[in-house]
Amino acid sequence: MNTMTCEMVRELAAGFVLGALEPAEMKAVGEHLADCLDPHPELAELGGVLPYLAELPEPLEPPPALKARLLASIEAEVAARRVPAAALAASGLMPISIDAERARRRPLFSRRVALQAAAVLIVGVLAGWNLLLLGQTDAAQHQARLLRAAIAAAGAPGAQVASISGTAAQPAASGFVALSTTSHSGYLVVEGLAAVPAGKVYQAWYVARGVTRSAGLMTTADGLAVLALSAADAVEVVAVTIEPAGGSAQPTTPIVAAGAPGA
Amino acid sequence: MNDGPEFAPGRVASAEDAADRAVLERMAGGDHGAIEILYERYKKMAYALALRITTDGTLAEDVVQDAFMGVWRNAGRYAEGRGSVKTWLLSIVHHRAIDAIRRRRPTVELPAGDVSPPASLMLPDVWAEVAGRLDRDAVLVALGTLSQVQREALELGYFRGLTQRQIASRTATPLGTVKSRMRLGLLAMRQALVERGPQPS
Repeated sequence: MNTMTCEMVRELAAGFVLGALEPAEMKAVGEHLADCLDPHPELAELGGVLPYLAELPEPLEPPPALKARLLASIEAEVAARRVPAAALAASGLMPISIDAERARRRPLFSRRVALQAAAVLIVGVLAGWNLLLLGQTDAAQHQARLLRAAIAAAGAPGAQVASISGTAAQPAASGFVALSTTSHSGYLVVEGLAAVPAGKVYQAWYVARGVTRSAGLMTTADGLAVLALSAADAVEVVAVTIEPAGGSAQPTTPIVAAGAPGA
Repeated sequence: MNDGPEFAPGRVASAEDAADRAVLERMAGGDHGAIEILYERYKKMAYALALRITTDGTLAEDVVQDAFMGVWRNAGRYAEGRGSVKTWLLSIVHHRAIDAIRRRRPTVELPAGDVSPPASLMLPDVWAEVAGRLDRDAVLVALGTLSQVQREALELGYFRGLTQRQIASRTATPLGTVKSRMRLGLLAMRQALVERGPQPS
């Protein structure tokens, strides 16, 4: 129900263009404008001033790390968008397990199934790794234990599983991330990682709502890295970068691998 | 930087804006690196605006990153006739920054003593020292034609994200007076900008 008249909207125009009305008034004016057939030139007249207000603050150079972070976030999203196609290509599977009608109505569902299928395939490959690693060094045994736990997590009911794809920097990298939606924990498994230069380390990141947080440092053995995760909230993207030894507070280099459990 | 006042419907797009639109088209076409061009072009303005509103470097960085991500994601949906790309970008920065401080601010009204002294909108001597830069200079001069209380209303609304009701309570002014200060302030700025800028056709 919208009882606002054109005259009332004209009265509120300045507050509306500045976003300075109460939320209910903002909503009512917006609804009036969506329905009203009469012109409301006062909005452009007053609102046209805002771009000038926006340029009033003295221009200021942002910290250089911001650019690296912005580009890293974009790369993570690009990588995440590629994941479904990459997962299908990697698995050689089409979403044939569900009928066409359901696939048409529930495209997300079919993609989820495809991701699960790809992850299971990767899990199979990695299970072979697991056997190879058994009986070797303590570090390898630790890695093998993590890997077993990761495989179990990926297969657990309600697990959120997504493929990890390498970016242009490391196209050979691949793997999966398995998150438990109930325990807020999970595992990141990446193989095919290049050896890191001396003094550098692989670091994993959570990206959620545009905010990037460290997920921990990753040690690689023969290109394989397994990391236990403890995601406190919904994670959209998990990404990996190379950082100085000890890790960074925020990514400082382009992403080498990423996947989107939140997709 | 030579965008004329955008009040006239027949506004001629500047060469800069045409270049910006070309960058958006490249992004929409899958050239993700093109965002770097826009970032380099507008990072200082965007950061300055975000910092001015949030008064917090970390929050301002998040706002700027978020805004450029928004531009990148929506490059393909950006429609002609919605003002310049710069205006679009800065309006996203403004919205995100206001959202950020409103979320941070307790919903309960803060005590009046918590309000820091109004910033540069309130300091007439700032207008004079920028005479060298035509664009901001023009805006600052236009702002200078406003009364002190009109500038205060715009400052608190635009840069502090306060509603008219909150401004009324903080400045112990009747709500109707705050409303008319905002309206007359915007009209006076528009008038001054139109007089200084290229004449709208």
